[in-house]
Amino acid sequence: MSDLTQWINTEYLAKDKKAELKKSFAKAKPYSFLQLKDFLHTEKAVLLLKCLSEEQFEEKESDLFKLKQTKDFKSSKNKDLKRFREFLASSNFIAFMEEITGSKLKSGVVDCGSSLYESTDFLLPHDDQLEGRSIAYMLYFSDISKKEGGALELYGSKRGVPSKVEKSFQPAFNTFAFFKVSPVSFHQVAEVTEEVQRISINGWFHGK
Amino acid sequence: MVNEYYIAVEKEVSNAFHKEKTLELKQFLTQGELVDIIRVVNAAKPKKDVSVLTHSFSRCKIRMPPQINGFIKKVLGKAPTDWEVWSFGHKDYTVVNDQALDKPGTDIIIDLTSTWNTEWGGSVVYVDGSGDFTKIVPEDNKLVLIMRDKKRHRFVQYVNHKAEKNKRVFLIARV
Repeated sequence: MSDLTQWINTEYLAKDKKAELKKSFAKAKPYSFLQLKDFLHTEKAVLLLKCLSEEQFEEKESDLFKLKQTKDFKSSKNKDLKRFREFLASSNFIAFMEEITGSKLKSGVVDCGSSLYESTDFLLPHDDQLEGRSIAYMLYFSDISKKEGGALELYGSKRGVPSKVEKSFQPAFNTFAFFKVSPVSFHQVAEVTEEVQRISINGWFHGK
Repeated sequence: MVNEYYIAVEKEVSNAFHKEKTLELKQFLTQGELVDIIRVVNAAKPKKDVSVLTHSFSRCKIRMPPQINGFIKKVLGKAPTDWEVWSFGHKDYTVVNDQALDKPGTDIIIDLTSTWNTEWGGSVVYVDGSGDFTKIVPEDNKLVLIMRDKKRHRFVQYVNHKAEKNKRVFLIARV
Protein backbone atom coordinates (compact mmCIF):
# COMPACT_ATOMS: atom_id res chain seq x y z
CA MET A 1 0.00 0.00 0.00
CA SER A 2 1.45 3.41 -1.01
CA ASP A 3 2.21 5.86 1.74
CA LEU A 4 0.96 9.32 0.75
CA THR A 5 3.70 11.01 2.77
CA GLN A 6 6.36 9.45 0.54
CA TRP A 7 5.19 11.53 -2.43
CA ILE A 8 2.91 14.37 -1.34
CA ASN A 9 3.73 17.59 0.48
CA THR A 10 2.40 16.74 3.95
CA GLU A 11 0.71 20.16 4.18
CA TYR A 12 -2.03 18.69 1.96
CA LEU A 13 -2.63 15.68 4.17
CA ALA A 14 -3.82 17.46 7.32
CA LYS A 15 -7.50 16.90 8.08
CA ASP A 16 -8.37 20.61 8.20
CA LYS A 17 -6.52 21.28 4.98
CA LYS A 18 -8.38 18.52 3.18
CA ALA A 19 -11.71 19.90 4.41
CA GLU A 20 -10.71 23.34 3.12
CA LEU A 21 -9.70 21.88 -0.27
CA LYS A 22 -12.99 20.01 -0.52
CA LYS A 23 -14.87 23.29 -0.06
CA SER A 24 -12.72 25.13 -2.59
CA PHE A 25 -13.16 22.37 -5.16
CA ALA A 26 -16.94 22.29 -4.77
CA LYS A 27 -17.29 26.08 -4.89
CA ALA A 28 -14.93 26.71 -7.82
CA LYS A 29 -16.27 28.53 -10.88
CA PRO A 30 -17.03 27.91 -13.69
CA TYR A 31 -16.93 24.27 -12.51
CA SER A 32 -15.25 22.17 -9.83
CA PHE A 33 -11.53 22.73 -10.21
CA LEU A 34 -8.53 22.94 -7.94
CA GLN A 35 -4.80 23.46 -8.22
CA LEU A 36 -2.34 22.51 -5.49
CA LYS A 37 1.04 24.24 -5.63
CA ASP A 38 4.23 22.43 -4.53
CA PHE A 39 2.24 19.23 -4.55
CA LEU A 40 4.98 16.61 -4.49
CA HIS A 41 8.15 16.63 -2.45
CA THR A 42 10.50 18.67 -4.63
CA GLU A 43 13.00 15.82 -5.08
CA LYS A 44 10.18 13.59 -6.36
CA ALA A 45 9.05 16.23 -8.87
CA VAL A 46 12.65 16.71 -10.05
CA LEU A 47 13.06 12.94 -10.39
CA LEU A 48 9.90 12.65 -12.50
CA LEU A 49 11.01 15.52 -14.74
CA LYS A 50 14.34 13.78 -15.31
CA CYS A 51 12.48 10.58 -16.20
CA LEU A 52 10.26 12.48 -18.65
CA SER A 53 13.30 13.92 -20.39
CA GLU A 54 14.25 10.34 -21.30
CA GLU A 55 10.79 9.32 -22.54
CA GLN A 56 9.76 9.05 -26.19
CA PHE A 57 7.23 11.72 -27.21
CA GLU A 58 5.21 11.20 -30.37
CA GLU A 59 3.79 14.09 -32.42
CA LYS A 60 -0.01 14.10 -32.51
CA GLU A 61 -2.10 16.33 -34.76
CA SER A 62 -5.80 16.54 -35.57
CA ASP A 63 -8.46 19.21 -36.06
CA LEU A 64 -8.56 19.58 -32.25
CA PHE A 65 -4.91 19.53 -31.20
CA LYS A 66 -1.23 19.64 -32.06
CA LEU A 67 1.12 18.37 -29.35
CA LYS A 68 3.52 15.57 -28.39
CA GLN A 69 2.56 12.69 -26.11
CA THR A 70 4.08 9.62 -24.51
CA LYS A 71 2.23 6.35 -24.30
CA ASP A 72 0.54 5.52 -20.99
CA PHE A 73 3.23 4.87 -18.40
CA LYS A 74 1.95 1.35 -17.86
CA SER A 75 4.00 0.49 -20.98
CA SER A 76 7.01 2.65 -19.99
CA LYS A 77 10.35 1.01 -19.28
CA ASN A 78 11.05 3.66 -16.63
CA LYS A 79 10.53 2.23 -13.15
CA ASP A 80 9.99 5.60 -11.46
CA LEU A 81 7.26 6.66 -13.90
CA LYS A 82 5.56 3.29 -13.43
CA ARG A 83 5.90 3.67 -9.67
CA PHE A 84 4.29 7.14 -9.81
CA ARG A 85 1.46 5.77 -11.92
CA GLU A 86 0.93 3.00 -9.36
CA PHE A 87 0.92 5.63 -6.62
CA LEU A 88 -1.83 7.63 -8.38
CA ALA A 89 -3.91 4.46 -8.75
CA SER A 90 -3.28 3.30 -5.16
CA SER A 91 -6.21 2.99 -2.78
CA ASN A 92 -4.68 5.62 -0.47
CA PHE A 93 -4.33 8.24 -3.17
CA ILE A 94 -7.74 7.41 -4.64
CA ALA A 95 -9.21 7.87 -1.14
CA PHE A 96 -7.43 11.27 -0.90
CA MET A 97 -8.93 12.32 -4.27
CA GLU A 98 -12.37 11.02 -3.27
CA GLU A 99 -12.24 13.03 -0.07
CA ILE A 100 -11.49 16.29 -1.90
CA THR A 101 -13.69 15.83 -4.98
CA GLY A 102 -16.61 14.01 -3.38
CA SER A 103 -16.55 11.62 -6.36
CA LYS A 104 -16.55 7.84 -6.06
CA LEU A 105 -13.44 6.70 -7.90
CA LYS A 106 -12.16 3.30 -8.98
CA SER A 107 -9.10 2.19 -7.09
CA GLY A 108 -6.35 0.67 -9.24
CA VAL A 109 -7.51 2.49 -12.39
CA VAL A 110 -5.89 5.60 -13.82
CA ASP A 111 -4.90 6.91 -17.24
CA CYS A 112 -1.43 8.38 -16.95
CA GLY A 113 0.92 9.72 -19.61
CA SER A 114 2.82 12.87 -20.44
CA SER A 115 2.10 15.75 -22.82
CA LEU A 116 4.58 18.19 -24.27
CA TYR A 117 3.51 21.45 -25.90
CA GLU A 118 6.05 23.55 -27.80
CA SER A 119 5.71 26.69 -29.92
CA THR A 120 2.46 26.62 -32.04
CA ASP A 121 1.06 23.57 -30.15
CA PHE A 122 -2.51 23.87 -28.81
CA LEU A 123 -5.61 22.00 -27.67
CA LEU A 124 -8.94 23.48 -28.75
CA PRO A 125 -12.07 23.62 -26.53
CA HIS A 126 -13.64 20.30 -25.57
CA ASP A 127 -15.26 18.74 -22.48
CA ASP A 128 -13.09 15.59 -21.91
CA GLN A 129 -16.21 13.44 -21.59
CA LEU A 130 -15.56 9.83 -22.44
CA GLU A 131 -17.01 6.76 -20.78
CA GLY A 132 -15.65 6.24 -17.27
CA ARG A 133 -13.69 9.49 -16.92
CA SER A 134 -14.57 11.21 -13.66
CA ILE A 135 -11.68 13.51 -12.69
CA ALA A 136 -9.14 14.97 -15.14
CA TYR A 137 -5.74 15.83 -13.69
CA MET A 138 -2.48 17.51 -14.70
CA LEU A 139 0.81 17.70 -12.85
CA TYR A 140 2.95 20.44 -14.38
CA PHE A 141 6.71 20.39 -14.75
CA SER A 142 7.19 23.81 -16.40
CA ASP A 143 6.88 27.40 -15.34
CA ILE A 144 5.17 29.16 -18.23
CA SER A 145 4.51 32.89 -18.24
CA LYS A 146 1.41 34.54 -19.72
CA LYS A 147 3.49 35.91 -22.57
CA GLU A 148 4.53 32.38 -23.52
CA GLY A 149 0.93 31.09 -23.85
CA GLY A 150 0.04 27.53 -22.81
CA ALA A 151 -2.57 28.48 -20.20
CA LEU A 152 -5.22 25.99 -19.17
CA GLU A 153 -8.42 27.92 -19.84
CA LEU A 154 -11.81 27.01 -18.40
CA TYR A 155 -14.98 28.07 -20.19
CA GLY A 156 -18.19 29.17 -18.60
CA SER A 157 -21.31 27.84 -20.29
CA LYS A 158 -24.90 28.80 -20.95
CA ARG A 159 -27.49 26.05 -21.48
CA GLY A 160 -24.71 23.50 -21.95
CA VAL A 161 -22.86 25.55 -24.58
CA PRO A 162 -19.44 27.07 -23.82
CA SER A 163 -19.55 30.85 -23.82
CA LYS A 164 -16.28 32.49 -22.80
CA VAL A 165 -13.06 31.79 -20.91
CA GLU A 166 -13.76 32.48 -17.24
CA LYS A 167 -10.56 31.18 -15.63
CA SER A 168 -7.06 30.92 -16.96
CA PHE A 169 -4.17 29.11 -15.24
CA GLN A 170 -0.51 29.32 -16.19
CA PRO A 171 1.36 26.05 -15.62
CA ALA A 172 3.80 26.14 -12.72
CA PHE A 173 6.37 23.52 -11.75
CA ASN A 174 5.04 20.89 -9.35
CA THR A 175 1.45 22.16 -9.40
CA PHE A 176 -1.23 19.49 -9.41
CA ALA A 177 -4.50 20.61 -11.02
CA PHE A 178 -7.70 18.66 -11.44
CA PHE A 179 -11.35 19.15 -12.39
CA LYS A 180 -14.56 17.20 -12.45
CA VAL A 181 -15.41 15.89 -15.92
CA SER A 182 -19.00 16.79 -16.79
CA PRO A 183 -21.10 17.89 -19.77
CA VAL A 184 -19.95 21.48 -19.06
CA SER A 185 -16.25 20.95 -18.24
CA PHE A 186 -15.24 22.88 -21.38
CA HIS A 187 -11.56 23.80 -21.43
CA GLN A 188 -8.64 24.33 -23.76
CA VAL A 189 -4.87 24.70 -23.72
CA ALA A 190 -3.99 28.03 -25.29
CA GLU A 191 -1.35 27.95 -28.02
CA VAL A 192 2.26 28.08 -26.83
CA THR A 193 3.64 31.18 -28.51
CA GLU A 194 7.31 31.15 -27.50
CA GLU A 195 10.18 28.66 -27.76
CA VAL A 196 9.42 26.95 -24.43
CA GLN A 197 8.40 23.45 -23.38
CA ARG A 198 5.16 22.96 -21.48
CA ILE A 199 5.43 19.51 -19.90
CA SER A 200 2.87 17.72 -17.77
CA ILE A 201 1.86 14.31 -16.55
CA ASN A 202 -1.85 14.07 -17.13
CA GLY A 203 -4.78 11.72 -17.39
CA TRP A 204 -8.03 10.77 -15.73
CA PHE A 205 -9.35 9.01 -12.66
CA HIS A 206 -12.33 6.81 -13.41
CA GLY A 207 -15.68 6.75 -11.65
CA LYS A 208 -17.15 3.71 -9.89
CA MET B 1 -12.70 35.40 -66.76
CA VAL B 2 -11.80 31.78 -66.23
CA ASN B 3 -8.38 30.88 -67.66
CA GLU B 4 -9.04 30.19 -71.36
CA TYR B 5 -7.06 26.98 -71.25
CA TYR B 6 -9.51 25.42 -68.80
CA ILE B 7 -12.49 26.55 -70.86
CA ALA B 8 -10.99 24.82 -73.88
CA VAL B 9 -10.64 21.54 -72.00
CA GLU B 10 -13.70 21.71 -69.74
CA LYS B 11 -14.94 18.28 -70.80
CA GLU B 12 -11.61 16.70 -69.85
CA VAL B 13 -11.70 18.65 -66.57
CA SER B 14 -15.17 17.26 -65.85
CA ASN B 15 -14.12 13.70 -66.67
CA ALA B 16 -11.03 14.01 -64.46
CA PHE B 17 -13.08 15.27 -61.51
CA HIS B 18 -15.70 12.54 -61.78
CA LYS B 19 -12.96 9.92 -61.96
CA GLU B 20 -10.73 11.24 -59.15
CA LYS B 21 -13.37 12.96 -56.91
CA THR B 22 -10.81 15.72 -56.30
CA LEU B 23 -9.40 18.32 -58.66
CA GLU B 24 -7.12 21.34 -58.38
CA LEU B 25 -6.80 23.92 -61.18
CA LYS B 26 -3.96 26.39 -60.68
CA GLN B 27 -4.05 29.89 -62.23
CA PHE B 28 -7.80 29.39 -62.46
CA LEU B 29 -8.75 33.00 -63.14
CA THR B 30 -7.21 35.59 -65.43
CA GLN B 31 -5.21 38.20 -63.53
CA GLY B 32 -7.87 40.85 -64.28
CA GLU B 33 -10.69 38.69 -62.86
CA LEU B 34 -8.61 37.78 -59.81
CA VAL B 35 -7.94 41.46 -59.07
CA ASP B 36 -11.66 42.26 -59.44
CA ILE B 37 -12.68 39.44 -57.07
CA ILE B 38 -10.08 40.42 -54.48
CA ARG B 39 -11.42 44.00 -54.66
CA VAL B 40 -14.97 42.74 -54.03
CA VAL B 41 -13.78 40.52 -51.15
CA ASN B 42 -11.87 43.36 -49.52
CA ALA B 43 -14.96 45.57 -49.69
CA ALA B 44 -17.21 42.81 -48.31
CA LYS B 45 -15.75 42.95 -44.78
CA PRO B 46 -16.43 39.43 -43.44
CA LYS B 47 -17.86 39.28 -39.91
CA LYS B 48 -16.50 37.13 -37.10
CA ASP B 49 -18.47 33.94 -36.49
CA VAL B 50 -17.53 31.98 -33.36
CA SER B 51 -19.03 28.83 -31.94
CA VAL B 52 -16.32 27.65 -29.57
CA LEU B 53 -16.77 23.90 -30.09
CA THR B 54 -16.92 24.03 -33.87
CA HIS B 55 -15.36 27.12 -35.42
CA SER B 56 -13.93 30.59 -35.24
CA PHE B 57 -13.41 32.64 -38.42
CA SER B 58 -14.86 35.54 -40.40
CA ARG B 59 -17.34 35.06 -43.19
CA CYS B 60 -19.80 36.83 -45.51
CA LYS B 61 -21.82 36.06 -48.61
CA ILE B 62 -20.53 37.16 -51.99
CA ARG B 63 -21.91 37.26 -55.54
CA MET B 64 -19.88 35.39 -58.10
CA PRO B 65 -19.60 36.37 -61.79
CA PRO B 66 -21.94 34.18 -63.93
CA GLN B 67 -19.08 32.97 -66.08
CA ILE B 68 -17.42 31.26 -63.12
CA ASN B 69 -20.65 29.58 -62.05
CA GLY B 70 -21.19 28.59 -65.69
CA PHE B 71 -17.80 26.90 -65.88
CA ILE B 72 -18.46 25.00 -62.65
CA LYS B 73 -21.88 23.91 -63.92
CA LYS B 74 -20.24 22.41 -66.99
CA VAL B 75 -17.75 20.53 -64.84
CA LEU B 76 -20.07 19.35 -62.05
CA GLY B 77 -23.42 19.36 -63.86
CA LYS B 78 -24.77 21.82 -61.28
CA ALA B 79 -23.99 25.45 -60.51
CA PRO B 80 -23.44 26.69 -56.97
CA THR B 81 -25.93 29.29 -55.75
CA ASP B 82 -24.38 30.57 -52.52
CA TRP B 83 -20.78 31.63 -52.26
CA GLU B 84 -19.11 32.79 -49.08
CA VAL B 85 -15.82 34.43 -48.24
CA TRP B 86 -14.04 32.60 -45.40
CA SER B 87 -11.20 34.45 -43.74
CA PHE B 88 -8.89 32.94 -41.08
CA GLY B 89 -6.44 34.83 -38.91
CA HIS B 90 -4.51 33.90 -35.76
CA LYS B 91 -6.54 31.61 -33.42
CA ASP B 92 -9.14 30.78 -36.08
CA TYR B 93 -10.12 27.19 -36.90
CA THR B 94 -12.89 24.81 -37.77
CA VAL B 95 -13.21 21.26 -36.42
CA VAL B 96 -15.05 18.16 -37.49
CA ASN B 97 -18.05 18.03 -35.18
CA ASP B 98 -20.94 15.56 -35.29
CA GLN B 99 -23.36 18.38 -34.51
CA ALA B 100 -22.25 20.60 -37.38
CA LEU B 101 -21.55 18.43 -40.41
CA ASP B 102 -22.28 19.54 -43.96
CA LYS B 103 -24.48 17.26 -46.04
CA PRO B 104 -22.55 15.10 -48.52
CA GLY B 105 -21.83 16.97 -51.74
CA THR B 106 -19.00 18.77 -53.49
CA ASP B 107 -16.94 21.61 -52.01
CA ILE B 108 -15.85 24.30 -54.45
CA ILE B 109 -13.00 26.44 -53.19
CA ILE B 110 -11.30 29.36 -54.91
CA ASP B 111 -8.17 30.21 -52.98
CA LEU B 112 -7.21 33.87 -52.68
CA THR B 113 -4.34 33.52 -50.20
CA SER B 114 -1.26 35.14 -51.69
CA THR B 115 1.17 35.24 -48.74
CA TRP B 116 1.14 32.13 -46.62
CA ASN B 117 3.41 29.51 -45.09
CA THR B 118 1.86 26.10 -44.40
CA GLU B 119 3.66 26.06 -41.01
CA TRP B 120 1.19 28.72 -39.92
CA GLY B 121 -1.71 26.19 -40.20
CA GLY B 122 -4.81 27.20 -42.17
CA SER B 123 -4.75 24.30 -44.64
CA VAL B 124 -8.14 22.82 -45.51
CA VAL B 125 -8.02 19.14 -44.56
CA TYR B 126 -10.43 16.37 -45.54
CA VAL B 127 -10.47 13.25 -43.35
CA ASP B 128 -12.38 10.01 -43.78
CA GLY B 129 -11.89 8.43 -40.36
CA SER B 130 -9.48 5.79 -41.66
CA GLY B 131 -6.36 7.86 -41.05
CA ASP B 132 -6.20 8.95 -44.72
CA PHE B 133 -6.49 12.64 -45.42
CA THR B 134 -6.34 15.16 -48.26
CA LYS B 135 -4.70 18.48 -47.44
CA ILE B 136 -5.43 21.56 -49.54
CA VAL B 137 -2.51 23.91 -48.97
CA PRO B 138 -3.04 27.65 -49.41
CA GLU B 139 -2.13 28.96 -52.87
CA ASP B 140 -3.69 31.96 -54.54
CA ASN B 141 -5.85 31.66 -57.65
CA LYS B 142 -6.43 27.93 -57.32
CA LEU B 143 -9.79 26.22 -57.84
CA VAL B 144 -10.36 23.10 -55.78
CA LEU B 145 -13.24 20.72 -56.31
CA ILE B 146 -13.58 17.96 -53.76
CA MET B 147 -16.35 15.45 -53.33
CA ARG B 148 -17.51 14.70 -49.79
CA ASP B 149 -19.39 11.50 -49.06
CA LYS B 150 -20.84 10.58 -45.65
CA LYS B 151 -17.40 9.61 -44.33
CA ARG B 152 -15.36 12.50 -45.68
CA HIS B 153 -15.33 15.61 -43.52
CA ARG B 154 -13.60 18.96 -43.72
CA PHE B 155 -11.74 21.08 -41.20
CA VAL B 156 -9.49 24.11 -41.43
CA GLN B 157 -6.32 23.82 -39.34
CA TYR B 158 -5.90 26.18 -36.39
CA VAL B 159 -3.95 29.29 -37.48
CA ASN B 160 -1.01 29.82 -35.14
CA HIS B 161 0.77 32.97 -33.97
CA LYS B 162 3.40 32.72 -36.70
CA ALA B 163 0.77 33.94 -39.19
CA GLU B 164 0.94 37.30 -37.37
CA LYS B 165 -1.51 39.65 -39.15
CA ASN B 166 -1.73 37.59 -42.35
CA LYS B 167 -5.13 36.24 -43.38
CA ARG B 168 -5.89 32.97 -45.08
CA VAL B 169 -8.80 33.80 -47.41
CA PHE B 170 -10.82 31.67 -49.80
CA LEU B 171 -14.21 31.56 -51.44
CA ILE B 172 -16.33 28.49 -50.82
CA ALA B 173 -19.55 27.09 -52.21
CA ARG B 174 -21.19 23.70 -51.87
CA VAL B 175 -23.39 21.75 -54.29
